[in-house]
Amino acid sequence: MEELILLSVWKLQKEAYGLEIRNHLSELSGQDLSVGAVYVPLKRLKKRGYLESWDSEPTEERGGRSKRFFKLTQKGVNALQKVRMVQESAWSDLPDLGFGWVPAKE
Amino acid sequence: MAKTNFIIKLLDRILPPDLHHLIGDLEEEYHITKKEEGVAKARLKFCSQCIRTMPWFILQSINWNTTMFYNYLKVSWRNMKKHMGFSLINVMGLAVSLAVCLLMILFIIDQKSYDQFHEHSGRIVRVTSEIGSSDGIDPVESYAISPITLAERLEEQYPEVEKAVPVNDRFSGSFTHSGLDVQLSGFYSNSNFLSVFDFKLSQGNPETALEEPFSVVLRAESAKKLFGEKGAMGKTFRKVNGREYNVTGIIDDSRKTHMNFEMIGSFSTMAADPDLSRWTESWKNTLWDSWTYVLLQDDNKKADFEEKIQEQISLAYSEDGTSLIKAFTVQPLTNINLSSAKYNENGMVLPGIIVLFLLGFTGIITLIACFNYVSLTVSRALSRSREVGVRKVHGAFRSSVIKQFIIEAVMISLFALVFALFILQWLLPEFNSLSFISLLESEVSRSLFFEPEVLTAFVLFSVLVGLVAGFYPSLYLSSFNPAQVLKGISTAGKISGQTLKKIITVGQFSFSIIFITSSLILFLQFKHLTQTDCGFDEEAVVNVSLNGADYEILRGKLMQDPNVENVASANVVPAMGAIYTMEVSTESHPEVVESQSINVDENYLSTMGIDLVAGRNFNSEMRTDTNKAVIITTELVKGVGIASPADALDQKVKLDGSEKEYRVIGVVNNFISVDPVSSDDPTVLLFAPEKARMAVVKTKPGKTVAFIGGLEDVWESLNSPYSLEYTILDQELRENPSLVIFIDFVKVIGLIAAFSIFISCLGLLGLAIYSAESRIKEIGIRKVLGASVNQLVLTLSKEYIWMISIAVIISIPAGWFINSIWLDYISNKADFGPMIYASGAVIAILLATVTISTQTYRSARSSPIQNLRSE
Repeated sequence: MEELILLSVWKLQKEAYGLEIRNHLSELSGQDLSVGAVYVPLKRLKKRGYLESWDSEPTEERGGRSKRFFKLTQKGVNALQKVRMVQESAWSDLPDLGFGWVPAKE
Repeated sequence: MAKTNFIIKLLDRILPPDLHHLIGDLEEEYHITKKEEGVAKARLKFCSQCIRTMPWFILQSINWNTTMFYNYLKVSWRNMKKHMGFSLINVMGLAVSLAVCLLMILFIIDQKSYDQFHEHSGRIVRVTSEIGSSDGIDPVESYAISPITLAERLEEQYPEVEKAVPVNDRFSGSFTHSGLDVQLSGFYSNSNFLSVFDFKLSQGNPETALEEPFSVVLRAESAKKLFGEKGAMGKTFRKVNGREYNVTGIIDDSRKTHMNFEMIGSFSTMAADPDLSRWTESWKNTLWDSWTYVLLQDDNKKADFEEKIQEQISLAYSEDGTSLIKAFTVQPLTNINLSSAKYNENGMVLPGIIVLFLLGFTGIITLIACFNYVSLTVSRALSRSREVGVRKVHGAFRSSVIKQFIIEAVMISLFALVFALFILQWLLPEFNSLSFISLLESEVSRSLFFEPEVLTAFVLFSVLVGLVAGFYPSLYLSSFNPAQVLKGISTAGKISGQTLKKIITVGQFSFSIIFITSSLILFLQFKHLTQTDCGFDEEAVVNVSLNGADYEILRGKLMQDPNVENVASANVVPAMGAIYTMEVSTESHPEVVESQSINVDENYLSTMGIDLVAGRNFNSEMRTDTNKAVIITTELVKGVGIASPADALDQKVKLDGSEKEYRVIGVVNNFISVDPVSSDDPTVLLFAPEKARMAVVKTKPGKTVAFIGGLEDVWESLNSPYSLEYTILDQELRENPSLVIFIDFVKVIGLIAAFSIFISCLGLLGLAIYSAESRIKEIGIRKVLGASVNQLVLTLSKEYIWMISIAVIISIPAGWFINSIWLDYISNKADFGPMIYASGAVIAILLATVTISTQTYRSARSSPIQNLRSE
């Protein structure tokens, strides 16, 4: 989950704030994600230093509250890289079990 | 939109500021969905999100609030330590007020707890009566009593009555067992008494103890009085000159109840004893001291029950269609104490008005305490304002600053509670020892202190006080504009509550001065009363109660004792409050003069050392003296309009409206006949040795103790069924109840005085601190210009001298006026002198000076450089 969130922050760039991230992920996964499922990991990732946040000016539409945008940090990118590498080796060389699908070899 | 708004507002409040962006996101999503898919869908989405995340929200909220709260506590604690002296003053001020309030609360809780210990107390009620005269002339009043036969009828006729208990309190008198005789009083009641009420029987069977006639259940203390340490159970004792009773049970229970009894005699005794049964023939004879308690099957049916029993009036208690009982009312047992007062109560019951009074008193004291807290805190405002400014700049909301100060106030209040509990340890026994409290048997038991409900009540009360006290200062302190404050611009305009505070301080001081003066006057008056000259010689006089013994015989025996100088007869002891009044009139003065009267014999004047100023003493030889002569006091002479004592001789007086005329054969000087507070009651002495109740024995000086030693034997020889009863006159006079009530007043007024001067000084301190702070620059400049410390002190003190002078000017005449009101009733006044009124003022001025000088000296000595340099 956290990996997905980091990736969506990456992808969304300047649009990466709570609501957008949640919508994006919902679209991606096809599920209607709850607030908690997104914001809790966001907070955690920030704490671990993978993300940075900054608040915008308050807008009327949001009842005078500011938007909190997230940005990937170097540490975050490194972490993603590591995860990617782990994933690649885990997904490689998988035998055919007769289930009808095997990941394409890259 | 409304529902979502509400939820949003709610989230706003409970969630930490950190999560506010989340709320914003939700709101944004709502608006977007509303635009794209309609209101219904938007609302649905919003609500479902909220519900799914609710547990997490709640967790966040709790987390956040707890951390904040903890933070407030830490800051409060640090603040208190930083301003230690100041906090301590606040704490002490609140502590004193809290102690008094807690005492009142304890008292009310204690009173309300009466009779709660009975297992069925919820279902026990008492039937009371509304009584007026049969002809309807007298107003109908509420009485606690009901006919003695009612209980039986109720039990028989109404199924909702499980048991009914008749109680009558005529079971009293002198009782004796093997020579010891003891005054006891108690009830007649039946076995239901022991089953309905839960008085613990340490010995005896509750079901049978009150069945047989002449069975008595004694309280453990009474059993000890009669039987000493030997067991009482199963033994018999007798009423003096009366019947025998069997002890069938011992009640050992000291829990509080409104009923006052030392023993319970079986109800069947009333029918079995021929002396009693005569007077129980008509219910009217025993109406005025009988009560009926009922144990209902169901505690919800009280109102119905009350309606139903009204028929009993016409069924059993009416004559010719009318009755003096107009209605029966049903009163729950636990309501008896501290609700509306009724006549002919069973035992000592306090009316409910007292609660209102005490609560009002508590309220006033709390207000005064809070006011002082506010005053002191606000006067430190200037120095705290910087702190507030810094906090605000760092983004604290005003609400959190407010919460900060309120929590500080509550903390101080809780500390004050601890101190108050200590003060209460001293205060409670003092309160209980007030004689009117012990007379009413309303002492507050110490064990109440440790009941959990009581302690919780205390804590809640102090928290409440803290909240109330902290409310205004927190609003005020948090309102500072950080920019202004940090720049050092004093918000002088806002702090104009100064005038109000000054007025209140002047008020507090005047109040204190009046109370101090009054307590001094009371004390002096009291001392005077104890040392006053009675007009008769009270030394070496012993009063021996006759209790039916023959006076002449006793006198004969006593006169043989070499220790005895003289013996006289009388029916009362003078100056002890017994009142036998007579209305005296003469032909020339037909308006009656209300006078005291004493029945004496010819030895009285010499025994009591009362001198004649005109005429002669009674002479037992003269037959006309026996029922036609009186001796009167000079006051009575004046009262009937006769110019001089000599002129009074041979005048005829009439007593109490009868046509019979008495001749004045002698006049004596005034002496204290009833009460030390009045030394000039008109008094008439009648020659009536046959009406004597006591022998007045004058012993030779110094021989009183020796005399008393031999008295026992002399009494024995009279073979009286009663044991020896005597009092020593001067001792009795010293322990006179009206004097004792005086002590009570001195204590209470003195305490109020101490309390109020303490609070006033605190208030003054607050003002002084404020003033010192706000004039810090001024002082600096003056110092630089060369003012000495003493000059500075004077300058600073000027405004206080002004205030105190006003207080003194108000309070001296007020004190004089207030005290003269009650002093007028006392003819036997102490010699005060006008200085006494000034004394209260002097004390107050002294204390005030000490208070102010702490501040003035401190600021006068402060370094000007520091002051002027700051910021």
